[in-house]
Amino acid sequence: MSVLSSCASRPKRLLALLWVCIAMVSGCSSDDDAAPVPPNVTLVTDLSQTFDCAERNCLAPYRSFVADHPQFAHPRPWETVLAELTAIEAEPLPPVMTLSQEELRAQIIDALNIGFMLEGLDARPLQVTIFAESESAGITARRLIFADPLVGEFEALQLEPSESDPLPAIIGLHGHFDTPAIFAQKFLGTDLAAAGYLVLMPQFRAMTCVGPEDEISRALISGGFHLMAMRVYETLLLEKYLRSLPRVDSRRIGILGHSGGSSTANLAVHLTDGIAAQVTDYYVDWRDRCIPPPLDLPVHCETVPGLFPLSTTFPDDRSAPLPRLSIPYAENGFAADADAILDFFATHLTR
Amino acid sequence: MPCAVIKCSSICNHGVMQGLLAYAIMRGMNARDDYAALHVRAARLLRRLQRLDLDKMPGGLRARLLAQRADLEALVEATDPTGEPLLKSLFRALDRPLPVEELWAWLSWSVRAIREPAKVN
Repeated sequence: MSVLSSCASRPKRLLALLWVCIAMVSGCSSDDDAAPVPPNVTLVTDLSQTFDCAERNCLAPYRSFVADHPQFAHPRPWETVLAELTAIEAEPLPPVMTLSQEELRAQIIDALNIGFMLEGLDARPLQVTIFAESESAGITARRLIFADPLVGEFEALQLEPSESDPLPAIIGLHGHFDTPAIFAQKFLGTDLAAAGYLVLMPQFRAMTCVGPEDEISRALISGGFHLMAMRVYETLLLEKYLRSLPRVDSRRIGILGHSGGSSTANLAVHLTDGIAAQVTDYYVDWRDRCIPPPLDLPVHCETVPGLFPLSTTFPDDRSAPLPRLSIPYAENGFAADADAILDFFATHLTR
Repeated sequence: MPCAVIKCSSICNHGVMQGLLAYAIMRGMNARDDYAALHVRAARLLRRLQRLDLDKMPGGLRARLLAQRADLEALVEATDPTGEPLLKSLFRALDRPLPVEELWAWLSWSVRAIREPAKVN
C-alpha cells in the first residue's frame, strides 16, 4: 500500500518540482530586470597628462554651480544667512533625535540640497584618468583625475597593494589644509595599503579656509547649496569608482576621515549602502566657522545650518548606519590609534 | 552676568578665547569630561591657524592672529586630556554654568600658569 501510494505521488512531486524550477527561473529573470545599473565609469590611462587645479580652472564648476542649477537653487540675501547663523550660534545643542535610517537620510538630503545630484548617480558618466604611476615596496601609487558632469575635475591618489584579488578598499578623506600625500603619510594611508587595502584619497578642492573656500561657501550658501554637498558627492564618486574596479570587493569598502574629512564621511555613509565600515575622529555641530574673528570667516564647508538640529544625533552610535569606530581627534595624525583602526577594519573588511 | 544671557555675537567680537568660552558656557561644559570638547575645538582652530600663511596677512591682522595662535596653544595645552589639564579640576568642580568673567579669570590664570609658571602659585 505504501509502495503504491509512493508511486502514485511521484508524478505530483515531479510536477511540483517543475513549478518550483519555473518559479525560480522566472524570479531570476525578474531580478535581472530590476538589477542595478553597473556604475558608469570609464577608466583610461594617459601618462602624458598632468593635473594643475589652477590651470584646469577646477574651481569653476563650484563657482558656477548656482547659475548652472537654477531649478534647484534657493537664493537668499547674505544678510539673511548671517542672521540665521547668529541665531543658531546662540542656541544650546539640540537633544538627540530618534530617527529611522530612512528619516535621517531624508533630512540630510534636504539639508544639503543634494537630492538631484544623487538621482542617477550611477548612470551619470564618470571618467577616471590615470596620469601618473609609480611602484615602491610592493605598492603601486597612481594619481587619478576624476571628471564628473556636475562637479568637474578633481585629483585623487590611489595606493594599490599587490595582494591577490579581490581586495578590500578604504576611502581616506583629509582635513583642512591637508593633501592625499599627508593623509598617506600621517593618517595611515600607506600603512593601510601595506596591510592589503586599496586606499583611495581625494584632494578636496577649496579646503584652506581663506580665499576660495570662503568665497565659494558664501556663494553656494546664498544660493541654497553647500560646499559640503560637493564633498559628500565627490566621496560617493570615489565609492562608485571603487565598485567599478574588478580588483575591489565592493562589499568590503571602508572609509576613514580626519576633521573636515570626518564631517564629510559622517554624512556620506548615510547616503549609500556601499560603505561597510567607518572610522571617524570628529563630529562637527554644523554651525562651525573655519576661523573665527579677527579673521572672521563666517562660513565654510562645515557650516550647514540645516544639519544643526541633528548635531547631537550623529555622534550617537544608535544613529550609525554601519559599524563605526569613533577615535579621539587626531591633531597630529593617526599614529596613536593605528592599532585600533587597523584592527577595526580587519574585523569588518577582511574577515 | 548670568551665562544664559550671554550671546555669542557679542562675545566673539572680543576674540577667539572669549568665543571659545562662550562655546563652553552655552553648551554647559561644566560637566565632568566636557573640557575635552573644548580642547578639540581649540585644537582644530589652532591647527588651521598654524597652517595659514600669516606673512601674507596685513600687519595689524597678522599681529592679532599671532596673539590668537599663542592663546590657542595655551588653551590646547591647558585642556589636553592626555596630560594634566589645568582646567580639568575646574570643569570637574563645577555643577553649574559660571559667569563668563569668572570662567575667563580661571582661564587667564591657566594661561599664565603655562607661560610663566614661576609667577603663579
